[in-house]
Amino acid sequence: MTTVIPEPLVAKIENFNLAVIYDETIKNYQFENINSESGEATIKIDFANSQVNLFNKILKSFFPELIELTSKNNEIYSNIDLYMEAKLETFELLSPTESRNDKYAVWLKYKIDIYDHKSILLSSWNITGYGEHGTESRAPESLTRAVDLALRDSGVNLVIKIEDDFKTLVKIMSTDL
Amino acid sequence: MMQNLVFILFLSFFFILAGCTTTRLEEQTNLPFEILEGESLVITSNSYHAGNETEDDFLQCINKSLANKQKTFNLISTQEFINQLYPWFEPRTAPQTTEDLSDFLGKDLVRQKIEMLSVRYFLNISGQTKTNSSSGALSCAAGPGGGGCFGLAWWDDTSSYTTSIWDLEQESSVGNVSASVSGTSVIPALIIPIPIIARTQKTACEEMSDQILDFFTRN
Repeated sequence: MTTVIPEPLVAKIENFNLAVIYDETIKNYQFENINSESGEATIKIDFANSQVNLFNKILKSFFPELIELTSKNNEIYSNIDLYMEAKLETFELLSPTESRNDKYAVWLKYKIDIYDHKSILLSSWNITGYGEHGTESRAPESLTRAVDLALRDSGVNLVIKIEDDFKTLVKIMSTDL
Repeated sequence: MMQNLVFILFLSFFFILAGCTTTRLEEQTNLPFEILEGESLVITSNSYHAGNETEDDFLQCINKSLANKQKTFNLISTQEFINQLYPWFEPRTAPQTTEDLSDFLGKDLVRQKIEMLSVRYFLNISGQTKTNSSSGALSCAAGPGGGGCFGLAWWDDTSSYTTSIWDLEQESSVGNVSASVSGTSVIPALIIPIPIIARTQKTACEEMSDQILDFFTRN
C-alpha cells in the first residue's frame, strides 16, 4: 500500500539539524492476521515504504536538512544537533467481523526516542494514530482507507508533538551545554 | 441451462424498479449573508472522533451533484481541501462546531491557505442512512434443470441529513437545510426476483444539493 501524505502546513525550524534512524518495523512492516479466531479470510497488509514516507514528509517539513541514517552507531556527527530513533510498537486491527459493526478500525503506536549530539537520551515520545472506515465501499478499499487514515493521524500527532515540545527539548539541550 | 440463467439475470436487471419514497425538507436562516463571485465552498463533515457516521459516498454525491448543477460559485472537493490543509483538517483537528472556527482560523498558515483558496463557506453535513426494519423471507435454489427464487422480502430505509452553512468571515452558522427521505424496498420473487429498491440516499443527495443551491440563490 502507498499512503499519500500531503505537504504539511507547518513553519520550518531553522538552524537545527536532525538525523533520523528508522527501525525495521517502520522500514518494512507487514501485517498478517494468521491467528484470527473469527474465521474470516486472512488479511495481509504490506506497508511498503508508507511509514518512512510519512515520517520523512513530516520531519522534512520542519527540518529541511533532515539526514536519514541506516543505523545508530556511536559515531558523532559534528553537524547533527539531535538524533531521533523511531519504531512501530503496536499495530492493531479490528475487522467488521470482530467488532460486529460495519467498520474497519486501525490503531498505530510509535515510540520515538530523542538523543542529543552526545547520544544522551533527552525524551521519549509516544505517537499514536487511529483510523476507521465503513464498509460502504468494497472491503479491501475500506481497510486500505482505514490504514491511510491511521497513518495520516499519526502524522497529525507527530506535528502537534513537535510544535508543542520542541522548544522544551532545545531548552534541555542548552542547559546541558 | 446457461441460456436460462442469462435470461433470468437479464429480466432481474430489467425489472430493477424504484420504490416509493417520502421526502421532508426543512430550511432555516440564522443570519444575513452573501456569496460573491470567485468565493469558494467546501463540503465538510464532522469527525468519527465525534461519533459522526456520515457516509463518504453521500459526501461524494453532494460534491458531484453541486459541481454539476451550478457554475455560480467555486466548489473545492473535500479531499483536495483536506490535503491542502494537512494536518489541520484531519478527523482529529478539523473544527467540529462553529465555536472551533476561531481557534482553527487563528493559525496563521491555515488562515493564509484559506484566503489563498478564497474559501468563504463550509457546508457541514451530518446524518446517515439507516435501515429501520426488515421483514419477509426469500429463498433461492438451483438444480440441474434450472433455478429460481420464491418469497417476498422488504425493508424500510431512512436517509436523514442536515447541512449547516458556516460562514468563515462571521465565524458562525448562517443557516441550515435538511432532507429526510424514507422509503420501503421490496423484492417479490416468483422464480425471478424483482427488486424494487427505494433509493433514499440518492434522493436525499439530490434534494439536499437542490436545497443548498436554493439557499444561496434566494438569500
